[in-house]
Amino acid sequence: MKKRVFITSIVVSILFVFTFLLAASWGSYSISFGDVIKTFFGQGSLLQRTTIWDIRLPRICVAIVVGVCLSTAGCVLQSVTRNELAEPGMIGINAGAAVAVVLLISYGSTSYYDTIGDVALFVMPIAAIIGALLSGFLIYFLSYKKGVSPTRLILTGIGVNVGINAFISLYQLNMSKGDYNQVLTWTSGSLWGSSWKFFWLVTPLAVVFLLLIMWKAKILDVMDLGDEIATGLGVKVERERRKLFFYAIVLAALATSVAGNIAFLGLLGPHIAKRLVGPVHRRQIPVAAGISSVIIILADSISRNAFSPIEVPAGIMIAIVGVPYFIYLMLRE
Amino acid sequence: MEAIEVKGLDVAYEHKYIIKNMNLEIPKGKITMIIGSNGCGKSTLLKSIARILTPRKGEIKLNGISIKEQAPREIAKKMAVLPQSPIVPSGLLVKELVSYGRFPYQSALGGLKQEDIDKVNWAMEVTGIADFADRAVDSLSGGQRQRAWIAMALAQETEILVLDEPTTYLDMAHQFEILLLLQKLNREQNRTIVMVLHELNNATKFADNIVGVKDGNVVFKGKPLDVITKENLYTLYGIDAKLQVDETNQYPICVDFDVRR
Repeated sequence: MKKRVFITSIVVSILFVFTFLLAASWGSYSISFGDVIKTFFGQGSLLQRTTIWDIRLPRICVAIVVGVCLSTAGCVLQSVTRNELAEPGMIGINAGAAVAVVLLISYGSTSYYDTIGDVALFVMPIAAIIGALLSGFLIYFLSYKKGVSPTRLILTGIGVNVGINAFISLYQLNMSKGDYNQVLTWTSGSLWGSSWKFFWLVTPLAVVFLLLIMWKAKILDVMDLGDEIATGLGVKVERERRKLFFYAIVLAALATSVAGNIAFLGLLGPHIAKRLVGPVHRRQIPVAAGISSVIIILADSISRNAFSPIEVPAGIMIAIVGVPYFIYLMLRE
Repeated sequence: MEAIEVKGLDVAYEHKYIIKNMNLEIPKGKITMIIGSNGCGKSTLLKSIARILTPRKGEIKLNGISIKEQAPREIAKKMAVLPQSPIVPSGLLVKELVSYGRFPYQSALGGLKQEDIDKVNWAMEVTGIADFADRAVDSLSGGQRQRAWIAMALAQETEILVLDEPTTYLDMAHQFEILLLLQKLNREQNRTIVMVLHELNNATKFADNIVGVKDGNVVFKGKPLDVITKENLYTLYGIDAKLQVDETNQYPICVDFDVRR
């Protein structure tokens, strides 16, 4: 197992570096790998520096944060609900963020990112975070009945998800075309507005909650064995479940706030990691984070370039890869 | 002193009382088997002792101290609990599962110390699963898997072991093997073992102390030879049992029975 973990870490790291360079070099203005590396070390032409430092790098960095957050939230939710298919998109957390954004777009101004100031720029992510937190609390509250059972938590989540999505559709039907497209891009999950500002908005909080989750990695491990065993081993199951659920919501909210509703990422990374290095969280979480980052950077690069000048939301690219894998998982179980 | 003491215990699901005013002492260093018909409250009793259910009333003491007054981790160092058919995360290796038994002794970020590794290896050795250490738990057979769980409970290094039907889904030979293992742990290391068991003849053979539970109350308790009588079995299960004593005169055997109508 040690050898396997070692090999996996190396392979994932190499893939990560490769996709990172690919994303930095591939675009409507191509830059060779050599020039990308030169630019990182302060050389390169002004055009290269601007393209990489101001346009591509912030987008890649936001993608990484989003990948890491969604993947970790997925790992946590799968253990907390003890359901292999749990992920932030499925149990209504992303939908909560989406509904907040939809309401904001339909009632707010019609101005778009580049013409508005910093305050307005941050309104959308903050609305998304609040929306996600609210739906998270709603799910927990609705499934609470002298404690929260994992099954009830996930079923309530799925119910809330369907309800919120119906509500979103209702609003979308009454929207102007511009608003509708903006909402659609957002709910499909896209990194189109990424800038350093977004990166700095979500990263500090994301790091705090990622550390908190790593701190609880052993508790997640024993919670996988069921409430009874975990209790027997001295875990205050109810309290820990509440905390971990909250941490997962925050991470999902942060990711959704800048990238919209990226489905399947919280499922793909954790499952591939589990296959590779097993279900022990102190190994699974980092490997899953690495894999998810690779997937999202790659998906975003393809969605930026494959149908250029039209940009396909990265979430759709991931779903195209995700759905077959999802079905494969179902067939295997 | 008693290992576990239950006083005036009331346990209920919603409005239905499963256990009403139960008193019970479980002696130290002995094997205690709890028997009774389905739904009599024996598993509920075990779950209350294991802190999975919160009693409505009454007190449960562990080594003379109420479990409410002890930190969960401290209790986990004194008492290990193995529920009925626990969940195995797919892909988890045997040695990893067993090492989870060291959870109460570990800090949040620290790895396994040498002492932990020694205990884990010892637990796998005693239960005879050391050869499977690097195999996934979900690839093992029922008997091997049950031994892996017992190894995890052993790695927890507690003087009390609580098990809920540890032999379910196992064939006769494997049932016997598990009970023999538990007996060995009791005899050689003086561990207190409490378990719920369905097979009466296994219970009488391996128990030092048998507790009969009916409708949430203790109807008899004591040595198998003293308490496994025709009358008691009728009270407990409503059966007419034909009893014999084994060749060594140590435990009763139920050779046949009929349901009284």
